[in-house]
Amino acid sequence: MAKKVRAIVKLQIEAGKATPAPPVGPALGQHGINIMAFVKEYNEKTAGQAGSIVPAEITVFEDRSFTFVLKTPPAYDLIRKAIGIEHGAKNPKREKVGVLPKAQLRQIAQQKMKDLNTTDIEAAERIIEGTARSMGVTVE
Amino acid sequence: MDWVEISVEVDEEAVEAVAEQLRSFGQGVAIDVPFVQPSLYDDALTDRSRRAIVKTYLPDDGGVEDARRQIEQALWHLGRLRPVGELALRPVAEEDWANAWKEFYSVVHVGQRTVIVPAWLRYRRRPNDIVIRLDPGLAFGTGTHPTTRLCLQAMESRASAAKLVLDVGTGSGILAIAACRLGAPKVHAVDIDPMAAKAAKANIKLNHLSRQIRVYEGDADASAGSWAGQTYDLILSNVTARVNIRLAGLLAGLLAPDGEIIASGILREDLKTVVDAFGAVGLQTRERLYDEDWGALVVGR
Repeated sequence: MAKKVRAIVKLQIEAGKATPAPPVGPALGQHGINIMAFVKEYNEKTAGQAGSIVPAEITVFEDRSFTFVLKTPPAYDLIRKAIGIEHGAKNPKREKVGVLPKAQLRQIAQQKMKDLNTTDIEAAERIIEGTARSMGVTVE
Repeated sequence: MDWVEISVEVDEEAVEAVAEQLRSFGQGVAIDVPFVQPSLYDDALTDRSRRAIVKTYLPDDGGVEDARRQIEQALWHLGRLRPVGELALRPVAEEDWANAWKEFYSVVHVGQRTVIVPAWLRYRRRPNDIVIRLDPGLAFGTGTHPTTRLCLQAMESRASAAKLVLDVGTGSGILAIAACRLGAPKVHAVDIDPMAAKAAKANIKLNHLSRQIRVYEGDADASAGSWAGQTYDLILSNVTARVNIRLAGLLAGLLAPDGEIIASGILREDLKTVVDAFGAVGLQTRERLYDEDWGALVVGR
């Protein structure tokens, strides 16, 4: 298992809908890994989450074999769903598109914590708040 | 249809925000994550001190310039909150991505007799060849890595005499298959990773060895329960230095009186620590093998 690593690639793709087309083909193909094995396994594992972006983090080993884990949806996807907006602001410094209540911030931080390499809920909240700010979403 | 890859280097904190921007213009997002190699004590870790590369892909149909301007504008605003690198554009020719990766594989000869043949290639078998067919992909072990080669090499003279073999961390199943091909009548293979266990089963089937090799999914400690009372003439442990150290006691208990363990997956600088760990459970190192940065041990009582 854990051998020397050639690359770590994270893909943000829609659950159940991976295909060899971009971004999967070119992003993984350059490392010489079995694209169809990934596509099949990813779609099987995410079939129940249709409609969500479910990131996969792929570790490619030196011998071009690989393994992957699924991650929680990106923070912006969770923020967007939590406050019911379509997109973040084009100019987040001036344009404000919504307000994320503190309670919801904590909920998202809790959900994302295992992927943020921290066990400190406040640190996780700061990261999610940063994402919110760059979308033009204020936290109150 | 050809494509254009648009990429940008960013700090870890800005990855998600930039990914969102790119995704609203292109087809999906891929992120090259900076990392530090695994060590004796840690798995591979994300390296937060270096920048990640966030990429998306657009069809090369004349709309790229327009998208580029809009992305640049969006990133400029983001850049006022945190540092964001320059956009880079690269043409990507349409390929048969489902099959193109196969070019990286060919027939590999290991040791005196072992030949690893990718599932889609033909190979004319010579007398004495030990042929392993493999569909490389999920799970470690395509036969091209020194740690796998070292095991295959050490096994060639040993597996035929073994009545029962244990393969710990079987990955693609390559070593379990090799053990059978070399003459071992029965092999137990175990892997903690469910995807690996699945890949191993598929490769074992490809080699028509499902009757001889049994695959267990889970930690070797937990699986040991189902092997209670059995001892193994040969144990293949191509894992890591750390896992070899952790399992030394368990493996010693599963080893037949005259049996041997081939321990691999060990960086040269960690070899001594592993020799000591086996020594502490009463096993002596009989042979050391080296390939590039890697080493393997043959240990017994």
